[in-house]
Amino acid sequence: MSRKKLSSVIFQIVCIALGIIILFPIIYAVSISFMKPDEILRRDIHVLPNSLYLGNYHKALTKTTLIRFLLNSFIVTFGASIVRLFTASTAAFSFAFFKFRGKNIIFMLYLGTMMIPADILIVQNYATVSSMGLVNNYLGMMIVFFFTALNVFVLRQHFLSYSATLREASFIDGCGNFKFFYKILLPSSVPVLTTTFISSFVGVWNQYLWPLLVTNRNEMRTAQVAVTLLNFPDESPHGAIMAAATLILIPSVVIFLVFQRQIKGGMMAGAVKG
Amino acid sequence: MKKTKILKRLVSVSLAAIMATSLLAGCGSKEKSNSNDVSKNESKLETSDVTETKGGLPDSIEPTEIVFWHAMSGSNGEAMDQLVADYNDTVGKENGIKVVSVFQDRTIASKVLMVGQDNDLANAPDVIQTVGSDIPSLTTLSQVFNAENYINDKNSKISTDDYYENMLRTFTYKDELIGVPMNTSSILLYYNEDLLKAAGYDAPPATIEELAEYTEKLTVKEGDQIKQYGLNVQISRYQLVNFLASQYPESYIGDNEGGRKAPMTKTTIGEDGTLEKFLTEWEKVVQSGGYKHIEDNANEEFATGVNAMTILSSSRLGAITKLVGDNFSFKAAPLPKVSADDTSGASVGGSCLMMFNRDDENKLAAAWNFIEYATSAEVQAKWSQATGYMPTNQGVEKLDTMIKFYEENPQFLVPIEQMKASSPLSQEPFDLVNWEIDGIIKDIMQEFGAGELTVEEAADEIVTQYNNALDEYHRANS
Repeated sequence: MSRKKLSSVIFQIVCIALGIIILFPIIYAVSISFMKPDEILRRDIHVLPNSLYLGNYHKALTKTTLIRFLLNSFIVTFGASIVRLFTASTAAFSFAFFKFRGKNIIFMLYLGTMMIPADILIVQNYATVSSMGLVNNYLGMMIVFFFTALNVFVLRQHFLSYSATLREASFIDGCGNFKFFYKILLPSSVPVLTTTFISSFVGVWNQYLWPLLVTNRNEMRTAQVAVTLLNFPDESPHGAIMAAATLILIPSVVIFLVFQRQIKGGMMAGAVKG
Repeated sequence: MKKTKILKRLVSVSLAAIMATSLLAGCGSKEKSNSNDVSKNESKLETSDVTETKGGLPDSIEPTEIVFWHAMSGSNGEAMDQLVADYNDTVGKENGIKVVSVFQDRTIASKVLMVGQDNDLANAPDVIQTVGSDIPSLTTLSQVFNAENYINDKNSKISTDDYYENMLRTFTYKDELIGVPMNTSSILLYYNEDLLKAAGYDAPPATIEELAEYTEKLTVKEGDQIKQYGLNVQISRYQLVNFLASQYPESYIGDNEGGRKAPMTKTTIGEDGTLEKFLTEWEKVVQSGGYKHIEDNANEEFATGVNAMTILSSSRLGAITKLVGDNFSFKAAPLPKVSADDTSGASVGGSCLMMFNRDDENKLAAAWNFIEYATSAEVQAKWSQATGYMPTNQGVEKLDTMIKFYEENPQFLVPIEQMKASSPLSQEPFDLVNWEIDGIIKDIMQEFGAGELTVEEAADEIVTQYNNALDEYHRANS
């Protein structure tokens, strides 16, 4: 075996080992979700279940209205991610292609919002959302996720990699700003837009506190609340909690698997120009 | 290019509309505090136009719907939902009252404070299940309607005589009963009876000194490795204050009767000697060689025989009974005394049902009707059996169902007997930043448990950091 080949094999072994280490908690969580209670509580080390016990999934689905919670999560996450895509791409477009007074200051202000922890805005956000009559409402649950500076930043950097002459050429061909934006810019930015969408999807999907605060009806809760509903410090419902966590994980994994090629493309595209 | 102009105009009009809406939304919001931390802004509240309602309970209640926020999940959550469903089908139906129960998790106090500060009465609850430690912050809201206003009213079906004195004091602040006790528990020593018998013990340890002796004898080692710990308990705020409060009735932990007469400004455990006395005794447990000072999965470790004894809340009785099954015989005993001549006992902790005034006297009366039901002897008997919590209504003891239950499950009687043997003054303090103090005590006691701190060092650290946390709270809220 040549030296090059050997180092490649070693490199791959290290990568696989790292992957297993990183994935292990998830694999173990999924494994626990198929274990019977006495298997989970055994004293010896026990990584894989003896059989595929489905009782925990039955419990997770019957003790909470998990399907309804998942639907709520999906509506909120999908809605917020789509709107976020719109706000981020339009803002990034103006920052990348337009010349206007105070552009850089406004952009810095945008970036400045990244330094404000979301938690300290919760009370004020609640007051605003409640005064808009959006408590117990999907719009109220998703409105605070409609915009993030990070997405604007990533898309602006990507748009900056386009030559200004491309826009001028399209103007000569009869395009306006809007047509250039949705006919030329967006179709050629699919990888970056997909990355933005997925990162937004995973981020919003995992939100717990805000949807809990802004809803006062059990049927409006999101999937993350289901895990809390199953949990109680004075009990040991590990199996059911892991089953719920596994079910909640599925949409994120599916989204990631479907779009993983685009994510890679998006990351590379973002790295081209700083 | 005409099309582009139209598009431009459309975008500008939409943007203008969005900005106008957000500005209007800003204007429309009521006067509110600018705090970003609900828990730290209590003294600056400028809440509400809620009318003072102290006219007593009306003779009748109009049909209405009330909202009940609770923090019960798991099987206790199911029991709570069942309780509400039973009310709606019986007493509620007779009076035209419907209770909607909403799970709010442990952020319940923050959420009530948020809704209260915003005076968002439309989205507010009528009844809140809250733990005692949140009472000082919640009572800063003008909407909180003290149970004191109704409990001895001529139209009330319940009175203070119905409840255990210890539990009433748990939810009393500045001499007023804030909420009616709903679910309470007490700290217990759980022990593996089989292992104790095998070690030659017929009774559980009654003092910390005995606990240290038992711990040493019950520990099983294989070389340097401990195969079975004699005792597992992580000393955090909950465990420490119980050991301190149990030494004598007036051991209040802090000034102003532990924050019950007025906000607590300093801890007294350094000057009254209770902390040093406890640490001196606890050092014997640490030195026993079989004490596990960190808590991982206390229930499971005890149930699988990893630990022979453990100190946990009585609310875990049901879970541990289920986990242990027929594996071995276990029992619960009162918390060991710091020294044999201690004159009080462990405190009770838990939650009460508190009313929130949404500027509607009829809803307040309906809320009280639900509280009367939920804390009545019959319902408490059922609730206690379903959840393992101590019943709060004294009448429960006379009910045949409960007498039979205690005969079959004598463990559940231990926390009640422990409470009766304790002074009503034995309480957890209202120490305003309890979560922070919990962290402080946990960290220091972890070092003490590992033998890294002496008694004096640990005592000094706890008192200093405890007072610093309180000082910081008062500075931020003055």
